[in-house]
Amino acid sequence: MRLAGHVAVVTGAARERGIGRGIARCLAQEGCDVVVNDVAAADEGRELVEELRGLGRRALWHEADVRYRTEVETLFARATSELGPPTIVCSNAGVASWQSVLDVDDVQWRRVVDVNLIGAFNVCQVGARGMVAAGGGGRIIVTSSVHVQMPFAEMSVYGATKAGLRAMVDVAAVELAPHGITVNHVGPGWVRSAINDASPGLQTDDDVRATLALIPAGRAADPREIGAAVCYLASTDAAYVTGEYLRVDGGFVVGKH
Amino acid sequence: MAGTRLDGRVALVTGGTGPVGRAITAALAGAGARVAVVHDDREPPAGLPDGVRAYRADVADRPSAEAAIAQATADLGAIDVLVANAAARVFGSFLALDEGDLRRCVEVDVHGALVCMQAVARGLVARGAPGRLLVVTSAAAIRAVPGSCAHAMAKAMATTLTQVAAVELGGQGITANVVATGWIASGVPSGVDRDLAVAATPAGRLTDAAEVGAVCAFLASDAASAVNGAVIPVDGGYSVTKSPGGSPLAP
Repeated sequence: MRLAGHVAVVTGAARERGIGRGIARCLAQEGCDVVVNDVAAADEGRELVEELRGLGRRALWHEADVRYRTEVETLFARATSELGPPTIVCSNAGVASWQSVLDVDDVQWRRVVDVNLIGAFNVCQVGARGMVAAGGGGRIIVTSSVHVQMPFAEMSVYGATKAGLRAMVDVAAVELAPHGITVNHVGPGWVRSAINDASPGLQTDDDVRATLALIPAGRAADPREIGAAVCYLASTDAAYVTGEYLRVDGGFVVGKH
Repeated sequence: MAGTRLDGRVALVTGGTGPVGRAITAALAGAGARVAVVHDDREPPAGLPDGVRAYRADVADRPSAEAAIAQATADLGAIDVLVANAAARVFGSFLALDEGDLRRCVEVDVHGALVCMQAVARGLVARGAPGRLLVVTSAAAIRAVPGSCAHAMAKAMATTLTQVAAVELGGQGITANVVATGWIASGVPSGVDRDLAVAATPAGRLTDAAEVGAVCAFLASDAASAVNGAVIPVDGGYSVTKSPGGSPLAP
């Protein structure tokens, strides 16, 4: 139990097959109290909270849309008042869209940028300001993507937002180091989460086989495998690790050729 | 051997009246291209090379950008080369960054580049012509520069956008590349410590905007026909290493 006594906020954490849920479960197993956030899927969010409470943790469901600054501020205010000041912030909420560069329309642009980039910025900055106000110390862990190092056709906006987060992590890691706050990002490979259900490249059994053939490990990731990486970055073992990009992708990126 | 001349080509440069935009324009025009510049200055820009046409637009606003590109096409001919150089240049720390300023930076630097890329590339695809998409970014998107949060985020986004364009359009004879600038002698943002910028640059001096223009002119030419999806720093080595003294932009 490496994280006993810590309070974590995990965004985008409700969905059953999602990465956020895997992160929340792993944090709780390490002793962490957890605020489970999502923009929807309240039933699944509450169910997860009950599961985490069953582990003996304090847990809280809080619905909020990370695109809106005031909702993020309310999320953190409630976390602080009910569980204590968050020392671990996991910015995980994200959406994807698939369009060629020539076809990207402003509706899709707005949706992906608002959630993935502005939303993550809101969560990380509000969380960091809280950590600084509480006297410093903390962990910020962003869910980015293999797209940070491996741009995909049809995913220009998604990939761009994740690359933007990579740059944010780099700058924030340097600037927040004097406050004892580390900032890192994890790069999940393929997870069979709801976000990927709409992927045009994953609709048939042949599609799935073709994708698996690109992944040296030959399988999709379990969300708990991402959670395990997040727990490491949140732990004292990783106190000297900041500005880092930890891929959890079964070799997807190094095997891209 | 493929040449570096651009005679007969039409190029469009956004952010065309700033120091870097002017240098890129001069380099392209000097290589023989007919050049249109897009700018958001209130007054018509002075001092552009002979024959260069200027169009006022806000690249963050799709109709405005598309109208400028359509007019440039009507005036100069179909566009072969895009240099997306417009930037909001928002600086400041992560903790102090205002969400609205971040949005504006992303809209100008990234959405603006996307809209211009789409308009130019659609034209290229429709006429089956080869073409060049260049996006000017920053060394701050390659190495962490404290005090550059929004700028770095937007330029990192623009980099990936360009690389995906390289992947998708490469088969049609269109290349897409990134030129990442360092500290430009004539364009150092206010508040920057010039001495630190020099000390942090292995070349021991700031970069001349004309040096950025020269690389853009090369990338726009036939000689660069196999350069696709590349990120080329033009920064005197700034993105490669660290130097003592801290960030020239330190908040």
